[in-house]
Amino acid sequence: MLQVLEKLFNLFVFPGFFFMAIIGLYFVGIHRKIVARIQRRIGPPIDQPFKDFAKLMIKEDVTPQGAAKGLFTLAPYITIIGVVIGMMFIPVGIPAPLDTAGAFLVLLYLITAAAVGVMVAGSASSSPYAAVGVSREMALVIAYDLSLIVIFLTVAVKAVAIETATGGAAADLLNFSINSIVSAQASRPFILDWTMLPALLAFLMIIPANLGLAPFDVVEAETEIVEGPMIEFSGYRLALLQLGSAMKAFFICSVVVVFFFPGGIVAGAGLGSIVINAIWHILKAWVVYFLAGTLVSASFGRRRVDQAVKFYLTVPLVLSILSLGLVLAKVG
Amino acid sequence: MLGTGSELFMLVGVVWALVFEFMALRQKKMMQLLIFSTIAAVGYIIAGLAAETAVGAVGGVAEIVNFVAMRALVFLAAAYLISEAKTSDINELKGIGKVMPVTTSLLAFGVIAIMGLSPFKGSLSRVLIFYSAVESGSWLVLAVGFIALILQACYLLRLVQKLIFAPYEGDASVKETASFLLFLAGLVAIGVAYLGVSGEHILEFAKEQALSFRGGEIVLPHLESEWPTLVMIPYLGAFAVFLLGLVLPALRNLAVFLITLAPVVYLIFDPNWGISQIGALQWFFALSMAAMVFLIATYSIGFMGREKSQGRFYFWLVYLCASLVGLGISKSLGDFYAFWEMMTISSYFLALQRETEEARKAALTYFLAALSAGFLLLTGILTVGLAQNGNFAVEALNGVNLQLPATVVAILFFIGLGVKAEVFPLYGWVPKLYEESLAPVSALFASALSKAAIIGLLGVLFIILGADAQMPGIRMAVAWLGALTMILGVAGAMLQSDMQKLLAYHSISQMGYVITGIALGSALGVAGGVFHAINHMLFKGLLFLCAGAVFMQTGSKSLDKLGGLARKMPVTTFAVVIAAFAISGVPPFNGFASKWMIYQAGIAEGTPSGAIIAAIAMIASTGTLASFIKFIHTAFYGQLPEEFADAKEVPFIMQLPMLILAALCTLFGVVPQIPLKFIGMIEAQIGLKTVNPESLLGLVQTYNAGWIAFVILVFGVGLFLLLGIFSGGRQKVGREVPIYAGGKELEPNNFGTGDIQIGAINFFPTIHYLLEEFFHAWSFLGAIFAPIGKVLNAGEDEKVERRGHNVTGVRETL
Repeated sequence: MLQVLEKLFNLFVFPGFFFMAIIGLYFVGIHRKIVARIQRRIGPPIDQPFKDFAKLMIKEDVTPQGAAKGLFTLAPYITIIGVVIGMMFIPVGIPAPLDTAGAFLVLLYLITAAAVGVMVAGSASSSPYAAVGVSREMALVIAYDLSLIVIFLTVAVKAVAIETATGGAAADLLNFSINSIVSAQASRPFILDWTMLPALLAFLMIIPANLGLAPFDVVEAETEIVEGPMIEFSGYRLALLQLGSAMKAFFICSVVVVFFFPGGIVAGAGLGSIVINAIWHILKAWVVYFLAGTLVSASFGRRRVDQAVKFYLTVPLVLSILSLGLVLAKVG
Repeated sequence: MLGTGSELFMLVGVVWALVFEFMALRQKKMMQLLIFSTIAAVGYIIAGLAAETAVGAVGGVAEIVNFVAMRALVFLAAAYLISEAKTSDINELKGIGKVMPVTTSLLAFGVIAIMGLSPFKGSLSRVLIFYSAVESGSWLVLAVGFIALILQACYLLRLVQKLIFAPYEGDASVKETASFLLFLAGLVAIGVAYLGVSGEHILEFAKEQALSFRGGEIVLPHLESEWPTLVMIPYLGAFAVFLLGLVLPALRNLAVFLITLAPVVYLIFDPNWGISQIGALQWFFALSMAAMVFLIATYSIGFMGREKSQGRFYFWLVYLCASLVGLGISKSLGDFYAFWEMMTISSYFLALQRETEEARKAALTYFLAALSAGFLLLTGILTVGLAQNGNFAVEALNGVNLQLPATVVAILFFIGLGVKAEVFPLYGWVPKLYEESLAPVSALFASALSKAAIIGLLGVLFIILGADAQMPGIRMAVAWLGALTMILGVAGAMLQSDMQKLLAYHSISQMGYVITGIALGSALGVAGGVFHAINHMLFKGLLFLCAGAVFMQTGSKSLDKLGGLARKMPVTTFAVVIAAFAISGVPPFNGFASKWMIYQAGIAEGTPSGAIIAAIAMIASTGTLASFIKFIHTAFYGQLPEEFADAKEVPFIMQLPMLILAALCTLFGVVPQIPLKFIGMIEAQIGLKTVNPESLLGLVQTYNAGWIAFVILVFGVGLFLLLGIFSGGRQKVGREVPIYAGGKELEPNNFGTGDIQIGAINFFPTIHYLLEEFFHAWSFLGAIFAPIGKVLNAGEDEKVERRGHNVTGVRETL
């Protein structure tokens, strides 16, 4: 019983829904402030996203004609659910609440699921602008998923190699859980390993496309397709979509942290050390978001969809394959 | 001269056959075609009588008997046909089967009997001749004989196709009357049927004759055994269904339902047909295929409701059921081959049901590919059986003492079975065939027929040849072929706008997963591959059934023209969304469970090859997801074009199989333990000694699919309620507005909803362009097959070649 309550607490409060919502919205707020400052504006206050969320929740419920009603209402939940479940696999101060064998594959699917949420939302709204946005999103997802798969594979192979080198004989049925990836970095995190640096760089390049930030925000290209998949959403549905987007930012940065430089600064399982490790994790995630999200999006203009697709099919792919090759060469 | 026989005379016989078959192929008039064909058939008789070993002589004599009866039937029917229609030109006789059904049916019966594929148990005479050729190692004879037979099949089937499976545009005054010629033809037909059914007597007679001029002992190989009840029910049922259909069609539909249900019931409930009696592999696949045929038959009863020519459709459908069940439970390779050929001929006739020209071409291509593959399979089977002196029972066979090296035999089996299993590079026949057949037929192909090849591969490669121990090099090569199949299938699929062709390419891609899993050879890999095969049956069958439902209600298969059907066809949409997520490998559906096992097997190999194959598999999965987002959006979401505004949901009898399949997809995903229990037993049976069923289950339990699904559900509901409370301040009733169309509303500006729906061809322009460039760069390989096409088309009229244009040439930045 206590177990179930604990899992529910994990799901809804920490590191689940509320935790991610608050941190994610603050990430977005800080991001907007910094971008504004870089662009020599004043920018909104840091808690602006909270105020936007509250405002949207009390607005009128408007549905377009022709929308598929059920999916139109449910679609914003898909991103949120995917991201929260994904967070269950990630240790933030406490060990991951829902780690299982093969978890890193589930993580890959959940990252894609978050993108699918936006696509399904656009599809369900029956707007042609949304359909164009959906098609762009899918093209981008295909392009960066290639590199993402190779990065995940690199991390997994490296973790397995380290485990079999240090630990016992590998069973013929291997584990691939997040815990194994974290424990493989106990002596030295992957970020300090030069063979993994190209993969980290590739992952950082993928972040703008995943989060819809410049220069790869073709999906929501305001000047071309008027907000893309989210065009027909308003009121509480739009609030949920924006919330999902903010939570996704925190989630993906957490994944980068776990894959490349996990670990707390204080050992032990007491409440104090949990809080300190969680704060440390948030800081690390924010650094990733700052470098790959804020700085990049403040500095670049938007790329066209074909330029974006071609970029993702070349640069990050080559970098991640390079990493994979280096890891396999040292291993095999 | 015939005392000892010689390879030279055998060669003369088959070369004679080849030359005259080729000449027959070039004929445009029916009588000349049949005459050349008959002269060619003499060549096979010569080859048989001149065979080096005595078995061939037996075959030769039996062939004489068949020759006389079957050719007489064909000539009588043809003569009557020509006399009534007053022309012998094949192109002018197109579609005459509509006005002279009995005559053309007798002619068709004679034709397929000549090819050894009679529904009344095909004749073994030709197989005996081949057996003798294998015995004496006359591989050249075998090769030339096979080519001659392929040519024969080509022109004979083209004749039958044109006569029966084409629309009739000729003189309406042509009629069938009760003529003496027809009566005589009918009698001979009965004789031919009798010859087939009492095959053993003919062989005994032939044996005595052969003994009289060859002397010595003759031991015939034991190629066929008695068919068990489980097969006899649908086999006889096929004929019953056809006759019933002539009299009382409503009762016929009920009969189809019950007869296809019978094998399923027997396999589940009858202890005589349990796992211990017939083996886990056979039972599992036989049950799966029988269940799929039953569900598709149920669906067809609704789908075919308004079509014509249902009698022959249901005949071949139930016949196919018999062949699949027989193939699944067969205990000897001889039976396996017999049922394999039955499966080929029945699926060929089912594919022709639409009677368009493209359907005929696609079906003939399929048949010739399957026939060639069947011959390679036969060579392998005969080689393996020969080593046991003609005993083809599976438990007696092993891979020692073979005439050919084991590697070559393995390759023969692989190519022979691989054509049906849609492996690269043997899948060329798939896209056109699936596009041109009716949806339930394509569903049958994709789900049931391709799995028949998997039984063969598992049984032969593992049980008989012991592949896991002996041939790691070949296994890795096959795994790479599987990886190529996966990715090329998906790449092809992303370019398609026709629903069934898109699903065809995905079928190819998913079979790549199955082949790769099995080829990896480890316990996890084989389990993943077999599990994916079963899952593929479920979700691919479901996808084709839904595509058929859409076609039935809207009349269109093109994703460029459809849209917005979710509101009109909610049950179909629900089923399609589940199937699409299942095939893309999204948790918690069944596709994820099996694909996950295949990825892990690839990574667990520990070699760079394995890791790269796993990466290719994951990439293909992403591509599958993209393709299905396009499929779902362009058919079911978006705008509903006006011409489909009155589309309705399909009748319940069609919804029921779709819902059952969707439920199974979900069940196998959340509780994969159920099928994996049986798969563990299969692995133990095929000798993968590194696992027992419990440890496989143990692995899967750590994956915790059910737990993840539960968590998703709990969280989803909780979130919904939470946010409902949170946003208490808003109004309860929503408001509907027109969609934003750039400031211009639809109606005043005469935009139709069809105009603003994004079609499939415009869905990912960049990716589309890149893939087209890629395929265009490799298109020179197609030129290799041009000469074969020229030969096989020798009898057709010259057509003006028009190159289809689907490359836009301009990069669209949409």
